[in-house]
Amino acid sequence: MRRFLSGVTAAAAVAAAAAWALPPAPAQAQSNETIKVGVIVPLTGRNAVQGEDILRGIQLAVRRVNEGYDIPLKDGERVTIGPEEMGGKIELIIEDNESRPASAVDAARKLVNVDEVPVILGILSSGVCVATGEFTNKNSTVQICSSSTSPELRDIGPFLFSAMGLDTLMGASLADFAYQDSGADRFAVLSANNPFGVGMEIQACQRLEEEYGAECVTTVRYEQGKSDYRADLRRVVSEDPPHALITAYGTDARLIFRQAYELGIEPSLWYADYPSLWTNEVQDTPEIIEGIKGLEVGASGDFFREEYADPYEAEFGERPTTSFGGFAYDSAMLVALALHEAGSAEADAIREALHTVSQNYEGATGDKAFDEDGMQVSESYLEQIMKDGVPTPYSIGE
Amino acid sequence: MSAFLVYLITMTGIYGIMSLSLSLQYGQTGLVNLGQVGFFMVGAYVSAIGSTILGWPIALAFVAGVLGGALFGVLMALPIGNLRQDYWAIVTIAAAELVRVIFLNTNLGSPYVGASYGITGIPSPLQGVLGGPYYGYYYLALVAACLLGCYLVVQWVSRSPFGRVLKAIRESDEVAQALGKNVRAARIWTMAIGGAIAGLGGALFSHFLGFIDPTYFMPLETFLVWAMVILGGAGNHLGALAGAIIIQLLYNGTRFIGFGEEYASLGASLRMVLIGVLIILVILYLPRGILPERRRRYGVRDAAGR
Repeated sequence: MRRFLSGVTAAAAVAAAAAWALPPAPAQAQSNETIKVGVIVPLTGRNAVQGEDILRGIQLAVRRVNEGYDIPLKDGERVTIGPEEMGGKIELIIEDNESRPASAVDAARKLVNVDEVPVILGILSSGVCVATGEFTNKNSTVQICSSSTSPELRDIGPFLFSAMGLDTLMGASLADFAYQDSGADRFAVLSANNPFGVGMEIQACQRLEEEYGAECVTTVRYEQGKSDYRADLRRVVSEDPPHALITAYGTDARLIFRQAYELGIEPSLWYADYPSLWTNEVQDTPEIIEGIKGLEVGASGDFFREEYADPYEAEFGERPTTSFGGFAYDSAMLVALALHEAGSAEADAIREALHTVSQNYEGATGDKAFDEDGMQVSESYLEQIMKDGVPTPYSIGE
Repeated sequence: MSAFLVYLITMTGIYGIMSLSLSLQYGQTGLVNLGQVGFFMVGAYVSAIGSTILGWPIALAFVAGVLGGALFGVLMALPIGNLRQDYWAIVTIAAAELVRVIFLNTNLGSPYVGASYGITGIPSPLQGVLGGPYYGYYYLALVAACLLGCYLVVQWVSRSPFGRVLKAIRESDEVAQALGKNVRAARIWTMAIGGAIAGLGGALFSHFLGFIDPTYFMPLETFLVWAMVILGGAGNHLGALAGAIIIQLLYNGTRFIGFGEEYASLGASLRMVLIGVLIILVILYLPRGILPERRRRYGVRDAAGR
């Protein structure tokens, strides 16, 4: 029994040390002047790079509005939003989900039940967005996912919003671009085996078939984080397709393009969605992506640069590392606008106000209007071609 | 806060069921199962598919999840029943990945159900009757009852003559064989029981969250369960439960450390370091776990009196 007791004591001591080793952040004082906003992002584990970029996007927006910022609107006007307009400063409560969905569920429970936040931002993958969204929606807490694209998001409920267009938008647009630019009638598809990649594949192939009578001859779904993609690549080119569509992330994309190049596959084979997912990773070897055509969210224009990318660099000392941070930035700005519009920090009021303010907000990543399900109505895309490793504007048939 | 605590205790209970299963396999029988999450996934998926797509009553889906876990355990053990522990480790980790990859590539009905999209809308038992603000407590009671049941089963197996055979296998195959015991059959039975228990854990997990997809069942989860068993004390089933509590406390207690918004991403990494250091400390100072196995000794003591 003594051994048992000493064990329990040790466990308790360890837990206590863990929980209270450091003092809580001073800003957690019970004050009416802060509005708590929860953030769930992967800051450790395999998605840490994307997670950190998402966090920075949110931090940039929050730092701006906490000091008072002129938020751009669609009519070219700007509206000043500061602590006074929002009813207080925004305080972020940031939770790491360790790139594990189970941990994201823990974090969502804590944010809702312990911190009682009205809004949760961040969230990278669709799996996490659906799982936490079911819970936050039941508990009347607004959740805006920055970069989840699964069509399932639409059915979760009124408290769930998405800052990124669902797959239905991107897949069809990529198919339009690839078909109209190449005129080919046979395509291969290589996509990451997650809701994002698979959704692109399904939607693009459906569009190619129904709209253009073209065909997806092979569809290959690759496992992320592998150390060799040659088998997948051989399958992509097995039917000798004139062109292929691709969705790939960061270091996976670098390896895929390198191995494709080594296998003698012309980079101009590829039509990629969201090239900014990997342009940073391949910048040292521009030859492997020379001539790849891509479709980017309207995130690469001058407005994006001035409004987001340059200030981001000034704040954090480097360029945005992924394209996800911009969406997270927009989601935080929408919350700031909604706090002003609602005149309250109640989740239900914020939820209603989000629909109103999104119609008129000029997002760094384009139009951010929510439809009645809280999803994006449209997404503005830019056509690009890779030249010397740099994405350059491109127009069809050039 | 209380809702969060209820949630945490529920999750701890589910992980406790998982660690009991591993405690039986590794602590009792010495089977190095690095594919523990495979059982969990089979239980979660079978039960979720049964109750959503096939429209079974939830109780039936639970039973199917348990049987699915047991069957998977048997299937995994059949071809490798005679292998040594190190091979066992390799095969089990591969088997669990196989399960995950199969589910990752299998659509269930529509293109947006199953595969990487997972399964949504998994119903919770008796939600219609007991649903409401206190539903969390009811589910906790269900998990606690299951946990208690599993504990009793594992204890009963361990104390039975069959349990002593398992211990003999753990110490050395030859010992058990010399006594005329069928080592292969005993291992298969252990995997069946362990699989059934972990399958129950998986079913409880999926009906609790209401949503699962293959990313919930990465190999990392297996190692969390291993950490629970090792920290708690391999060979002592109560220890396995203590380990589950400790790991949950470490992971969620450290969420309350305020690193401040400025240092959030540094803080997140530090949190993982802290969790690692605390685990190492426990192992250093309590190498046989928080609640070590009580070894019964038979016969003569050696010269040192041990």
